[in-house]
Amino acid sequence: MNLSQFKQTLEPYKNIGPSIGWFCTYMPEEILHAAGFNTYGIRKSSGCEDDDVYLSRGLCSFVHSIFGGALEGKYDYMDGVIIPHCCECMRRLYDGWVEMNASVKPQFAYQFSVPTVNTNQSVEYFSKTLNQFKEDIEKQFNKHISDESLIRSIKVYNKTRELLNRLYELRKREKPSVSGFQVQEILDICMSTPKEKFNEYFEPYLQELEMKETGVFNDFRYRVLLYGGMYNPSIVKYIEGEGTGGIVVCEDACQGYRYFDTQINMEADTQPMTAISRRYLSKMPCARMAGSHGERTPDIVVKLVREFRADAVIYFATKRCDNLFWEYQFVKDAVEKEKIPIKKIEGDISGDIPQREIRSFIELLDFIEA
Amino acid sequence: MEYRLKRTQQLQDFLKFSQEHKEKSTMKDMGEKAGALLMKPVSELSASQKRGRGITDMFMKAYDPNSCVVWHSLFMPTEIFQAMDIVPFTAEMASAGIAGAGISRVLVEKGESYTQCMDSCSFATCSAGAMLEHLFPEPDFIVTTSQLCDTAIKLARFSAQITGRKEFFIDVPFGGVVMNPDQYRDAVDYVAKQLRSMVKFIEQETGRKLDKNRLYEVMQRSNEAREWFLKAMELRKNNFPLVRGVQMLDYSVVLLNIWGTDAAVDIFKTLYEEMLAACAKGGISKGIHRIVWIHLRPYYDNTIINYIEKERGAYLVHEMSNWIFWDAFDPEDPYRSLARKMLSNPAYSPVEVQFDIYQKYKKPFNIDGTIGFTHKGCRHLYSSIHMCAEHLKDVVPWLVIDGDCIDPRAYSFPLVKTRIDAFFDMLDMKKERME
Repeated sequence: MNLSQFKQTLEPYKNIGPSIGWFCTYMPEEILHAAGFNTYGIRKSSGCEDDDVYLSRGLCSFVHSIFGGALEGKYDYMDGVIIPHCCECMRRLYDGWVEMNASVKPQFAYQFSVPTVNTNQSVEYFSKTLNQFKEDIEKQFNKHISDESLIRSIKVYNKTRELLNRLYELRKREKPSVSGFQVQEILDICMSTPKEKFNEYFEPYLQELEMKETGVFNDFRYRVLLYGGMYNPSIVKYIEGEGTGGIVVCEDACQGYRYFDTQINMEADTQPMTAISRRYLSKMPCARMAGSHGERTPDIVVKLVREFRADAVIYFATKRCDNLFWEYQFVKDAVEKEKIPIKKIEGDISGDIPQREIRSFIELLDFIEA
Repeated sequence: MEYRLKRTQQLQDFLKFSQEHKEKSTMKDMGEKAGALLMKPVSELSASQKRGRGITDMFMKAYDPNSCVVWHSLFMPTEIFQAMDIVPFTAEMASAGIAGAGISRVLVEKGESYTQCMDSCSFATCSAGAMLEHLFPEPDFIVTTSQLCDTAIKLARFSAQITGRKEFFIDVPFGGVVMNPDQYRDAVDYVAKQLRSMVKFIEQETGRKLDKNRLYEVMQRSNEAREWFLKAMELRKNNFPLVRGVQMLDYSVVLLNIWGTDAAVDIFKTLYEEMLAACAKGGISKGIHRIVWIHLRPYYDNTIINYIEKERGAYLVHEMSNWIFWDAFDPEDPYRSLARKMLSNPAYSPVEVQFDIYQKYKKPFNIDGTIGFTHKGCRHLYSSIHMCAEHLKDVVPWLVIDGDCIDPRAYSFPLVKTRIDAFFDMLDMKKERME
């Protein structure tokens, strides 16, 4: 089976209801799944950024894309959306959704606060927040979410995470059997398909990839780790394109590793909601996290560079994301201390990318290697 | 504590830097002005001067090598620090003073060279620039909360890195104002626990112990100051202007770090007395249009406020930054009281909360119009002000001015004057029609 065939197999199951959309990896999908919903991550541009003339221009392109898409009916197959309060831009996205409720689809939107720290206190508090979220979903949709159904859902999503982790293991090989672009496609399918179906069809495909001994590219490629929040997917295509000379071996990003790196551990916490809370707060931190957990980001980037044997880091700073812009210097200092080359690219989640800058950076690696 | 010895030099460097880089400013030479306020007896000062002196006093104490100094984020209540004789220093507030002294542009540019971001909040980039120039007094420790914005969190982390001092972080749940009672109770407990942990952290870092009786007194003083301020605001409801708009905006009580001090009680009591006296005389001028001002102002330039007051007959009757959104503290329950204050900030809630508040202002303050001054890099407030203007346009006329509070490059009065004139022309016509 190749990637196209895999995609075709899952196409009939893509974006089917009942479903609820989410935009941030701090949204615990298991709770919605336990209520009987498919959960779909909106992880790329709707193509409708310019249709949003309501939310102010000070917000990031991801939020404009989401809101523009909602105004244009791109998500009207969903029964609702969940917009955790994870950053200032998401804060106003929720407000816009409520304020313009008559014009957006779906109309149901829900927001909850996500702690910015990972401590025992925040895990306990977040589990209470999630319990309230569960009750509100039950009321809104006339559902019942039992602990047993939560545990079942946890197992399904843990299986997805296990499979995706195995996929990423392939990228640590000297000759990865899968490219960054292919991984991007697989993650896109994963986030827009019911997880049971994804797990069922992906596992045999993954086994084929694991058995492949040849690399996806025949020529020498510089290995790149991509860091970001929501980045422009064209960047991966360009890095791996003809003549650029790179292969993306890992993404420490919202569309990448951060989505699935850790499992929910039901042995450490017997209450499913506490286990969910702990997993979501302790996963690889995004730039919005603070405290000692948030401060781990630069060390995690260095660790990933070592694990995936990356030659360089490309840091994608989404415009108007203060978290990413301010985090850059911390990551840069840590990475440069280890003599790892790093390049910052600014951009929106769609549109043009600075190809010349990327190409020059990768060409420069020749001289560093020498 | 060798790091404290740097403070004397840092103050000298700050004053020297302001001399060398001063552009147009809204205040006299910083050193001269600070010196003048400190020389006069407090009893001879007006409320506004007392405020200036209180802030200057705190600022100067922060540079004293004998002081224990905390750098804290803007919305961190300072009562616990005051009770422990720890001098609170807010980088963002210092940025406002820097802008007033006419040296913000060069420091914003310095900060931008670090963040490589041209549209981040200039309060933060100016602070970062000042830290990179080592102009701020070395802290003993740093305390940050998750309010109100992402940039404040990152600035604090940068502060900790550049100073090498430890940071204590308090996570405040978003949306306290709209929580149901159970959620709210859990949120209060969560924040209160973190405040208790903060006290332990401070005790460990500084060797100081929190005296509960002292905290009780500080909380009571905070309540007293709050009462005087509310009384003063009450006077503005049905009267002509009682105080100049620039002075009221400079109070920005929600940001003050002198709550809990005797100085704060004295300032607001004096303010009330001055307003009462002004009431008896029929106000300080005969203004025509009663305006609410949303958010802050350009600190490097007073033209806009002076223009609307002197040339367009408008006067400010309330400001968002002077909205007392918290209830009086229960000194017997200090941690939960402080937690409630932190959770009740309307700017850290869904925008509908702001809609409600602005609607509530209209009748009691008899508002003719609202002016929202947006700060370019403030993502959440920039958008919420625009949303409010749209949502409330049928309730009261709104004017939104896009600008920047700290960075003079991002704002020009001549460019906004046309819009201000159009707004007030409209209000003039409206008044004529009603008469």
